[in-house]
Amino acid sequence: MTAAAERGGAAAGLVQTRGLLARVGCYALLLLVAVLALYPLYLVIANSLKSNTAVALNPSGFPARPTLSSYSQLVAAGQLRAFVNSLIVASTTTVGAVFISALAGYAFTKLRFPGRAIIFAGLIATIMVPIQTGIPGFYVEFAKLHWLNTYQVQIVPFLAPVFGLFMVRQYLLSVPDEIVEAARMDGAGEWSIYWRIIVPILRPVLAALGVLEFLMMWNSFVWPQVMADTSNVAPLQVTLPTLTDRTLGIVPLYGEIMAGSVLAIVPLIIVFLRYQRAFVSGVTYGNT
Amino acid sequence: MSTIAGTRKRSSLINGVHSRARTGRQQGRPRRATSLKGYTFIAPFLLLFIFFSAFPDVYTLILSFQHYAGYGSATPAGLQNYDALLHYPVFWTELENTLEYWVLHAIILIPVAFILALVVRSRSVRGKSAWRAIIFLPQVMSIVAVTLAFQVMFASPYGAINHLFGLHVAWLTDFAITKWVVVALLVWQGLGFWFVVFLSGLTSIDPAVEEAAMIDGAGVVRRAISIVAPLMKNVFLFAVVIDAITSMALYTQPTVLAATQGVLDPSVAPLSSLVVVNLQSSSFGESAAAGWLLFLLTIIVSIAVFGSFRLFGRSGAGRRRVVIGGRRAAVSR
Repeated sequence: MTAAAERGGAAAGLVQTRGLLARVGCYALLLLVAVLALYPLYLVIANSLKSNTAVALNPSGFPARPTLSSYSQLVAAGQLRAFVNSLIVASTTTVGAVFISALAGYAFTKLRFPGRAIIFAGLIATIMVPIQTGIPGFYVEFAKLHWLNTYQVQIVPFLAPVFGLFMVRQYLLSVPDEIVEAARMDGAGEWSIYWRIIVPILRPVLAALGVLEFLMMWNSFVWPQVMADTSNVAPLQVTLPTLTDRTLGIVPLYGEIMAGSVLAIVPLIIVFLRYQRAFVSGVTYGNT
Repeated sequence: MSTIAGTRKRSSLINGVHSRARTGRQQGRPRRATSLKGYTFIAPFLLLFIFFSAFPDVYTLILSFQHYAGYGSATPAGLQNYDALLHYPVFWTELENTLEYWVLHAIILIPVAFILALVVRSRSVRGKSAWRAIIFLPQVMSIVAVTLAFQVMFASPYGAINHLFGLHVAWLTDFAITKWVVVALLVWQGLGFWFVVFLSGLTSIDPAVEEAAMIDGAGVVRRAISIVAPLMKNVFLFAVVIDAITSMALYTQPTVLAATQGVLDPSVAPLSSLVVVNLQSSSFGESAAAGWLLFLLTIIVSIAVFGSFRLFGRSGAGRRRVVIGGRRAAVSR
């Protein structure tokens, strides 16, 4: 073996060691992140299987004697109603918002009418307005119309999401106009063009939008806290943090709260598993 | 700008073929029937938007110049509501809190999300889709549920973290520490989102660019900083701006995490809670003024972020040119 080859071998060995080190480093980092990402989920599930007092005594470990008592107390406290409220509000809004955004997104891309560009620009410009800005005005005006503490106050204001309009339009811009024009030449009306041609084309973006809208509605907190916090319509997100002991009302009942958190997480996990691809593409949409 | 390009491209079959014979003025005009259909299609969206978003925002602005207690009639207040808020020490504390929550979580969150995306994409990592799903998972957990989980983790004296490590830290009652718990929560929640955004941004980079740098002996870190990051400038801009805008409206996490019996101490409260607190005490004028100050803050912060990116972006481009020049030098040698 010549000296040069030996040197080459040593260098290759060095590269290999460095590659191995890099690999170990990568996996160590990923493992750390995975543990940190999953730990709160573990904590929620583990503590939901303990009684309220058991959580206080042993908040971090496995349940010594797993029990569903926290779940039954949660039901006894009427929290199933809150869960159903959340489901009603989030799913209704999602279906409506997807339909309405798709309709408008189509018109803003493929139909021509005076003022189209200006109206669209005006809508996009409002994307920076924080949700809290409209709350006082909305509250004062809609209190007079007796909308407070209803379902519609949680649903109707969110049926026209500007980001949804934006997503649909971005997607349709890449669809050639000739498809629409050809159908129009064949004598198809705008409605049948919309239903038979545009909606099928839009399917992936509508799935992504639906998932995003559901996630957003499921997470909404400040709006229902202000507008709809009575137990017959309030969503789970608003009622969960208020679960305290019945006598003094100051000690949080963590067993029940964690059981309720499982309820709050399950629908999102189901949506995630079912629509994983739409989920990720929805998240990365504004980026493309 | 894209609308103009779109309109031009839309000189469509029908209009293109038929109206070529007509005058140029007519060519750019939609037919009345299609205009009507256009308005019909956008009507549901537009009406809902005007009644339930635009109108309340504008009405809040009007309300912010009035005194109104929820009964009787509103009386004009001029700038008194704004004046009162700005002379209120809590306003400045909460403004500082919101800015702190934003800056502290963003400078951790965005670089870490970028690094994780690089790691998951790198050749030495297997099981990419599994890692991706795990890192993304926090994004699909209910924000309130997760915040409550953090409450159980950091409760004192008997929280999970204190229990696990035998500590006696007052995480949620010593507010200097509580702020950091909020920051940790924000990083934890946002990581999956920005990780996926960066990951999809990385796929648009031509691998040949990086390979060329690798051949020239640029190490992993050097490549990430000098080549990949500048190419991802737009993704970074998007991430920082969107994250900043959402951070100004931050409310749920600090409120759920640190409120005791529904009351949040101003020393950890974000600025947005001034809207809610004033509304709940029926000071609608001040609540409205707080709402518009929050909007104003969002505008100022986004302009500042855009501006600083322009400066930073220029120096980043300069650095890239140097590296590419260095590569040429290395090749010619």
